Amino acid sequence: MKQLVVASTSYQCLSLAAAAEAGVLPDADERVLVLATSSQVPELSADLQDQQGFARVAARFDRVVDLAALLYPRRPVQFAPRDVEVLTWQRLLRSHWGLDDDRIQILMDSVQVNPALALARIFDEADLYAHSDGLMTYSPTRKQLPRQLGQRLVGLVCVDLVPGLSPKLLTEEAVTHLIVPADSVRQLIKEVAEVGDGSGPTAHDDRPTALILGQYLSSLQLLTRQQESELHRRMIVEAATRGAAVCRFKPHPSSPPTMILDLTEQAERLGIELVVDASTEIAEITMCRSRPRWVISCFSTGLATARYLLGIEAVAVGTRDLLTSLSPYQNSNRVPLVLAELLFTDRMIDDRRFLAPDEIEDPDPRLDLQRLVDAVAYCMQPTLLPQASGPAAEYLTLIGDRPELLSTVFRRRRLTALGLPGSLPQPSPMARLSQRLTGGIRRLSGGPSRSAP
Amino acid sequence: MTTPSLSVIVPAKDQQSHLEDCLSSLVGQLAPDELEVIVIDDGSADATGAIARSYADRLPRMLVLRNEVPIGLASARNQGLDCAHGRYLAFLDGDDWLARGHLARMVSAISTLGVDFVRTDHVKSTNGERVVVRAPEARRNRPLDPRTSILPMTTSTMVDYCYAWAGIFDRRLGDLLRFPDGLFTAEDRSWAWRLHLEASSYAVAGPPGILYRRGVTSSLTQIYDRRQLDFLRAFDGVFMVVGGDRDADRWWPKAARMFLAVLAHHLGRLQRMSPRDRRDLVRGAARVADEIPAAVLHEGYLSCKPERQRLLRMALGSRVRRRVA
Repeated sequence: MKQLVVASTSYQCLSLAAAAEAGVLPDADERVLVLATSSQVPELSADLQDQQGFARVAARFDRVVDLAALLYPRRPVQFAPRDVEVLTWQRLLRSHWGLDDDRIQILMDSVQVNPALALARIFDEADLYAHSDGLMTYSPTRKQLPRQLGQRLVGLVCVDLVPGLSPKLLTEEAVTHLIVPADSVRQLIKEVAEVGDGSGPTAHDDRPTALILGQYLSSLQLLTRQQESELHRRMIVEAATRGAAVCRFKPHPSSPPTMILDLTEQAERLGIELVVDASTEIAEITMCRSRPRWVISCFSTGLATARYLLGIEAVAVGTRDLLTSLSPYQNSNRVPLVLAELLFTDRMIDDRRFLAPDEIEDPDPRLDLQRLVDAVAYCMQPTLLPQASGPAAEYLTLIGDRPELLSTVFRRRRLTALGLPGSLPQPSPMARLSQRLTGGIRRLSGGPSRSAP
Repeated sequence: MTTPSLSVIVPAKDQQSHLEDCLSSLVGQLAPDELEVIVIDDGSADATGAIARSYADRLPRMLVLRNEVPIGLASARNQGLDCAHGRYLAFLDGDDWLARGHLARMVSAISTLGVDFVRTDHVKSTNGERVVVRAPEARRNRPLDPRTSILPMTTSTMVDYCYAWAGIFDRRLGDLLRFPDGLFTAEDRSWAWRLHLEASSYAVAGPPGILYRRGVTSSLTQIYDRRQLDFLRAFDGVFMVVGGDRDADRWWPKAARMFLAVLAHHLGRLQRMSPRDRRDLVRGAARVADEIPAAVLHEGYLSCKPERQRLLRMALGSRVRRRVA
């Protein structure tokens, strides 16, 4: 058995190495790390194998091969061989990567997206495992897997990021969960951080420091450039309010230089020292080495890593606004946003905070994060998770006295559409009749008609 | 100071979003004193100039020129040529970028082959979706006579592949490298013709190392910009070069067909033009068409598909309908 472990980011390489180290990955005679960078502009970013500490990561695998280099100048995400060619691709990759005639297993992140999908098609007899290391692990699957993929999917490898919270991703496929203990990821982060090439910041500065993690949300069309600039300003204000003397800003690797220019101006106006961290090291390593007092972001996975893996205070800014504007309800950023809102802001019920499942001893059922996430997942993907309908209704009844949760985390209109507790009041029969009449008259008079319900 | 091996000329107007990618990709391409970078900030109203200057330590032989009023891509490139010291010359637009090692491979190709210039394939990148675009010449990595890559008329050839940035040029080409001053568009048309008619040797060499950035909005959805009428003046230049050549008869059909294709494209967008632009397009088209030998023009018209013929009749009317004895 030969195992292909496909990684598209530096942090994935690290968390998968931690999984291998912890003995979580399925057994294999040979474990091959397949590099498939997701970088939009690989010419300008460091190759995954050139990231600091990569040797420590690679040491957890038997071999490393580079799929991105094979496909260059096209990007791995564009790798989509034609059906009639996949067998040829299999023969070529088997000889190129020295896979002989062995059975193959593939571990991949986005099963439905290339290059993972392409590799699944090429190695058509391979068992498939998904892996996930971020807050998306707790989000339901965006779109049901085609049958021919679902049938082959055996397990999900995921990091126990929010302690004790069970993954929602791919639950509809009834996969086995292979949980990577947070401690093994923490150990490897520390090990890699110690290798350090000196390019990143260190903890020499004794002044209270806040590390801001940029997410480049405007590239995801979640915010406009102006809104994102305003969000960054609020993060700096938050840092200042908490007593930070220095703000370190770690831009998203693909964010444009003008965004940083904006931010520098904002900080100057607020009289705060802002240092832009231009190093290529990943945020997790920076946090571990420089030990900031606070990590501030909107809903970056880095917040959870800071809080639960590295024990640094995590602060989410702007989640409430984004939760109300995020559309449609099934947008898969919703669960990470909900988690950031509940775990890393001052959101409380009766002066008690939401906590990770493993941190709670005697829970107020309303503060049961697992039940809440399950209910949100049901509201996002009701057809994929029909069995979650009853528990969702029960939980929503429990929080019937918390209108702010119903309207931000759940959204009233969604609850109404699904006929769940917390729905908006139904219009009376007379009101509905009058609406229909007005619609009819408008249509007859050639005016704008109402869209179909 | 020593003579740099290569000067890269980078015109940039309002490129604050992309110039960083462009300049970052130049860092480390050649030894720092072998690479001269000349950025022409052509009347930018944004941070283009500041971003360029911030690269001074990473590109020690960088020169940033500033035009308060934009003079256009063609003249900006000429401005760069005027102050370039490199043994070889290359162009790069401010929104494009290079693969690692690209310039070293190009310098090595041109010096090994000893040709006047080398042209190359490129990668078109439309919001991250990459497609390799091949230079339309199949003979690779060997010296060629540039005149043998112009025909046939009916398929795309090296004169249709008019991207100044997809290549490297020996400075001995001198004025052949200059662009028609003042043009804002189609500036590489006559430039490519002249190069292929008058230079004595060239080669095509890979791999594709230039990333050509395209937006998603197609030109068809944009409002017509009057400066696009510059294509008429660009063809004045093409026809002057072609008409003056010793083998003019061989090239005329190709040049005429190229003109008719571009003209039809513009005529297809008449709806998006102001009345003044429409009038100038129709008059200008007739004037430029008169530079083409009548028989060639008529043949060119007949070789077009009916839809294109219909568009061309709007501007050229009797010129293309007339029978030639």
